Amino acid sequence: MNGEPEVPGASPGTGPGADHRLPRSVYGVGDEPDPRFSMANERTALAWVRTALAVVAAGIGLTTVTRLAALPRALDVLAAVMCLLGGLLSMAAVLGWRRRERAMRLGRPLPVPVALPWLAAVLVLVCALLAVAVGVTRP
Amino acid sequence: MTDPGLQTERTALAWQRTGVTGSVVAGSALVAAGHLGAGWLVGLTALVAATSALAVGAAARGAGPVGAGGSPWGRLLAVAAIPVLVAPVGILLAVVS
Repeated sequence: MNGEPEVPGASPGTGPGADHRLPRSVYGVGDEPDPRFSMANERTALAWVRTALAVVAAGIGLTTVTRLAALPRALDVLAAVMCLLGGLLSMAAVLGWRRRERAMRLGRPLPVPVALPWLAAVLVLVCALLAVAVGVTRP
Repeated sequence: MTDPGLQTERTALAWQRTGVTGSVVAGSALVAAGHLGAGWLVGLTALVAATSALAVGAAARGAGPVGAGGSPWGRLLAVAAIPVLVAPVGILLAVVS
């Protein structure tokens, strides 16, 4: 870290004290950031994974309700889209962690959370379609 | 490290929350498949739920001091695999059942 004395051989990838942590694309570059920042990055990634789980659960729930309440099968398309979105979001969580950790190690500005506007837009669209579907099927 | 924000504890709790959520979602998928799906789909979902439980276990085993000297990569991949595995089950439930 800045301001601390350099330890011989502690630089990534060299000497007996080489950093062998994975992924090498992250730990093979730059300097160790403040551990608090790394942990905050970890918690952010976990929050994204939980969001992904919630979206998948909503998709499965929608399918279940559609069957139990005999709603139009068109809602299954929405449910499938939500499940797909959840799976993609989980991958984005891991890639986002990698990008942020790498940026911190290299002393670069943190990258913009790309998935956030997309998630919001898709969820708004899904909610609108759901409202239309429920409105159409109301007796 | 002086840690007035209890970062380590907060991070450990975040892992716990994610593990519990993953287990609940995988279990819910299994229940939904049991009600709605064909036999093969129930079997597939049971396999996914079992794998998810293993992933949660793997993430819990790797628990420990985080930050300098540790990498959350393996644990992160394990928990991130749960929605990736459960999502196809949800899609199959929507399309096939």
